[in-house]
Parts: sequence; structure tokens; C-alpha cells
Amino acid sequence: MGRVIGSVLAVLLAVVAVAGDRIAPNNADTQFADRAWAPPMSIRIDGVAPYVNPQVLEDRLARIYTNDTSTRIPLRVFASGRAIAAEDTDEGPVLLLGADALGRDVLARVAEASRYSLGVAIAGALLALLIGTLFGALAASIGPRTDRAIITVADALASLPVIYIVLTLRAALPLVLVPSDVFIALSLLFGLVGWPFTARGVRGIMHREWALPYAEAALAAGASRLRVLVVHLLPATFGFLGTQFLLLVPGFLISEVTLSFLGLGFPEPTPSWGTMLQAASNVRVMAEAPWMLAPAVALALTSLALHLLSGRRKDALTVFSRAR
Amino acid sequence: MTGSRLIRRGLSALLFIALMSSVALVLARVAPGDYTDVLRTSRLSDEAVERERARLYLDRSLPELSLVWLSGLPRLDMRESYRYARPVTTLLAERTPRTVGLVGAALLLSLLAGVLWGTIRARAGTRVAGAMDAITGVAVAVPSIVLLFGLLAVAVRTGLLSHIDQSIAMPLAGMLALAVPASAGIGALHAQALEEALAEPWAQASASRGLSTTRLAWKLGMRIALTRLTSVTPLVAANILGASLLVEVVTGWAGLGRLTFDAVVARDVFLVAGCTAAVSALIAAASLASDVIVRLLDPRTREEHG
Repeated sequence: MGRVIGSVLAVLLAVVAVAGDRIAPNNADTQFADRAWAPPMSIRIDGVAPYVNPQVLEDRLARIYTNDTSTRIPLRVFASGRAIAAEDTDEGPVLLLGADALGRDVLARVAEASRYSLGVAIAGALLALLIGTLFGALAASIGPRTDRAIITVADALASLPVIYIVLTLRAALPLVLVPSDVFIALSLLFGLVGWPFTARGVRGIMHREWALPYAEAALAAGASRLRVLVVHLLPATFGFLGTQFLLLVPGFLISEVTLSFLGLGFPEPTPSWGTMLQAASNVRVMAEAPWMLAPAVALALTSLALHLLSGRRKDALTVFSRAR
Repeated sequence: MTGSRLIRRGLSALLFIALMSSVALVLARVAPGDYTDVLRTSRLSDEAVERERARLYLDRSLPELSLVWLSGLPRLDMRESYRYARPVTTLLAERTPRTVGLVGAALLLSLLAGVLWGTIRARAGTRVAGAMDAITGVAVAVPSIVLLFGLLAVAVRTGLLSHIDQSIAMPLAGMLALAVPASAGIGALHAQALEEALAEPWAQASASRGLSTTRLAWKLGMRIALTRLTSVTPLVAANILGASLLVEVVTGWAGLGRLTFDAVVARDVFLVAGCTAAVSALIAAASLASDVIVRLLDPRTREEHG
């Protein structure tokens, strides 16, 4: 049951990440005048036709908005290249999850941010799997000295909290980077700090597999060690690598959120869940504009989906073995 | 654990601290620009800027800088922070106990709550166990920072925050946010261990001879908690320490996490290395303490390792 819920959630999140701000009626970077801190609009249904009532700014200083119930803005699903589109009217923008301080659509920004936040976490996890598999295979296949050297480095790196290592590595890069450079830099950093978790597991599996009769038989039949390693032993690690991927992504997601929150990740106006949470971290914003916490909900749902998919109950110890 | 083994572990820990902090020092130094860049835009002469660079060891090559760092480390002389113009050791002595307090309180709470939760879960019927597993799954998966935002939002919306002193409410919320996922993880681990132990033939025999299941679970549970949980405590502590960085920033808790961030942003080379040394020392100390306690509690480990 958990895996089914996890799979459904993961598919939905993947669709949102691919679609980006096409999920919402507005673009993520469009600023609407007189819509700063506008609250979310309620979707109403008349028969089968969904609509919203336009908002009217009553008091600019007190940020008081009222709904004009005498007017309707019809909504369309999968129209004009968007998942939810509003008919062109002069009644102002449709803001289903409200607006931020600059009058930008929060729904569009959360959806667009999932591309960056999830994208960099997935790229980092894939790189960590690649490096970890390489080092794990080398440790298990070359000899005891290489094995000891690799595993000592892996143990030392894996013992420290990932975010402290990422922060220290981040210190070696310029503080201000353009978004594309941030994406590449963070993916590389995550790959560099995430490999020990994969390498230890791959090494263990390969050590066990090398001792099995089928590996010995393949060597006796004349196959080279490299061929046995790649063709016969590597497939035995695929199940572990899949689980490891699901463990690494949430950890890197939190690392990205932390770095962007601290101003060392994606810069404004590029939306990421970390930069958006930074804007919501003020107590007054939490009180007056709780819809700004939407990225926290997205982060929780993503983390939950990946956790359910990995079926963590089987081995409770893995709870603490992820790259957090 | 024998004395010689303890000394070996201690020496490895010191080597680990020296190595990690040196790597951090090099990384912080290879970044383009340095702390004195801002002085070049001021009215200071080039000679004055160069004198300042020499005073802060910024005119040294990477090997020289590493030597300066490593030579001071045995005396706990970690040089001076550029940003704070104070000795790094003094700053760490002020900030580290605050992080240890936050992380330690969260760890203690999560161990107590986790053992209680796990013991109840191991003895629960199928339906209750299923519900408890679902709650555990959600609590483990939701990151501490999300929980912190949730707690603060509820406190703000209900007006609770205006009734409590923020200097108490913010770290309390931070501690709870750190403890919840860890408690759930420990609870799952403990329940798993207890279920396995209660299925052992000797446990079944004790039960059949009249030992109450409650007593069996709690007596056995405590032993498992003390041995098995002690061995995973460093891992849990490292998890909480990692999550505490952002929690410290959001709650305004002036600990090691906040200091590390300040050091990275200011390109404060010695402070970056000092913070890494402090984090490495905390992890090494937790690991060493856990090893000693496990060996004291479990005679089998003494027989295995001598």
C-alpha cells in the first residue's frame, strides 16, 4: 500500500517537475502590480465549470483583498498549453496559491522550483551512484590495499554530516554564480559527497559475489576479471543502487534547500524551494501569508514519496544511513 | 576496550580531525578572492593591504598555510578569525556547547521517545502496529526543517508564540523538530530488534515458564536498547547535527552551524577549518564514547576484540 501511494505521489511530482510553471495559469517570473501578498483564490464549481472570483485590493498598506463575487473568471483544464488556464479577462490574474512579496504566482514558482530543486538532487544522486559504483567495484576487485584505502576514505567522509561537507566544498567556489553554474556545481558537490554511501554497499555485494561459484566458473572458462565484473557481478548491485538512489535524493534535496536558503545555491529570481522558504522564514510572513510555506509542503511530499517507494520498514537502520 | 586499543582509537580520531580540518582549510583558500578583497576598494594603500594579508597568513602558499594550521593544532591554537577578529578557539569554545546542547537535548529526547514507541510497537496488535508504522513512516520522511516551519506556523497562527519568550520558544521548536524524525527512526529500529529478540527460543521459553510479556519486553527491551541503540547513536547524532545547521539559522541559535555559514561567506579560512575540526571532533567523540559503552555493556564484544 505504501509503495502504491509513494508511486502515485512520485509520478505526480515528476509530472509537475517536467511541466514546471505550465502547471499554473501564470509564468513563474511574471510580477503582477497590486497583487503583493495576495491570498490564494478558492476554486468554485458551477455545474461542471470551475471558476474563481477576481480579487480586489481594498487597502494597499494593510494588504486587504476582497473577492468580487459578482464576477467570475472561468478556468480551463489543459488549455492554452497549461494544466490550468484562465480565460482572458480584465479582472486580474488568477493566483490559486496566492502571491509573494513581488506579486508573483506562488503555484507557478513552486512548480518551476521543483525543476531546479529536484533536478539538482537527481543529477547529484546519479553522479554519486556512478562514482560510488566505480570505487566500490575497484575496492572489491583490485586487492586488499586498494580496498582498505578506498574504504578508509569512504568511512571518513560518510561519518561527517553531509551538509557540513557540502558547505565546506561550496567554500571553494565563488559565492555568486549564475543558475546554470549553480546546477552544475551543486550536482558535482553532491556526487562527491554521496559516493561513499554507494561505494560501501557495492563493495560488500561484490565481495560476496566474487566468492560465489558462478564468478569462479566464469574466470575458469577464460573470461577476464573486467568482463566478469561488468557483465556478471554488476547486475547484482542494481537492486541496491535503486534503493540507494531513493535514499540519496531526499538528502540532496535538503542540502539544496539549505544552500539556497543560506544564499549559496540558486540566486533570485530563479525559483528554488530553498530561496522560497527563505522568503517565508519571517514570523510575520508565517502569520500573514501562510501560503508562502507551500515549498515546505512540496518538500515534505517529495520526501514522503521517496521514503514510501524505498520501503524503509524492511531495514530500520537505513533510516540513519542516508545522506542528510 | 583495552588501554592500548583506546589509545589507538584516540590517535586515529586526532588524525581524522587534523586531516579533515586541513582539507577544509585548503578548500576555503583555493576559492577565488580572499577576505582582504574588500580592503582594496577602501582608501588603504597597497602596502597596507599587503601588510594585512601577511598578518592574516594570506600571502602564504597552500603548503605553508597548512603547516601554519597544523603546527598550531596540537596547542589548540587555531589562529585568528578574520571576520570576528578573535581567536578561533575562543569562538569555538563559545559556540560548540550551544550546538552540543541543542543536538544533545534532541538526541536524548529521541532516544527516550524512540525506545518507548518501539517497545509499544513491538507488543501491539496488527491494526495498531499498522497505524504506528504509518505514523513512523511519515515522521521519518518529513525533514526537520519542514517540521520546524510547521511548528512555528502553528505557534504563530494560534498566538502561542506571543505568550512565550522567543529566546525559549525558538530553540524549543528547533529541538522538537530535530527530535521527531530521529525518534521515529529509533522507534522503528528498536521495534525491529525487540521483535527479533522476542521470537528467539530462549525468550519464548522464558514466556512459557511464566515470565510476563510486559516484563520480558521491558527487561529485554532495555538491554537491547542499551547495546544496539548505543552502537547506532553516533549515526543518529551525525544526522541530527547535519539537520541542526539550518535549524540554527532559522531559530537564530548562535551555534556551530551558524558560525560555519558565517565563516564560508566571509572566506574566513581559519574559522572554516576550525569549524570542520569541531564537527569532526564531535563525531569522533560520539563514536569513541559509543564504542566504549558498547564494550562495557556487552561482554561478547570484549571477548571478540580483547
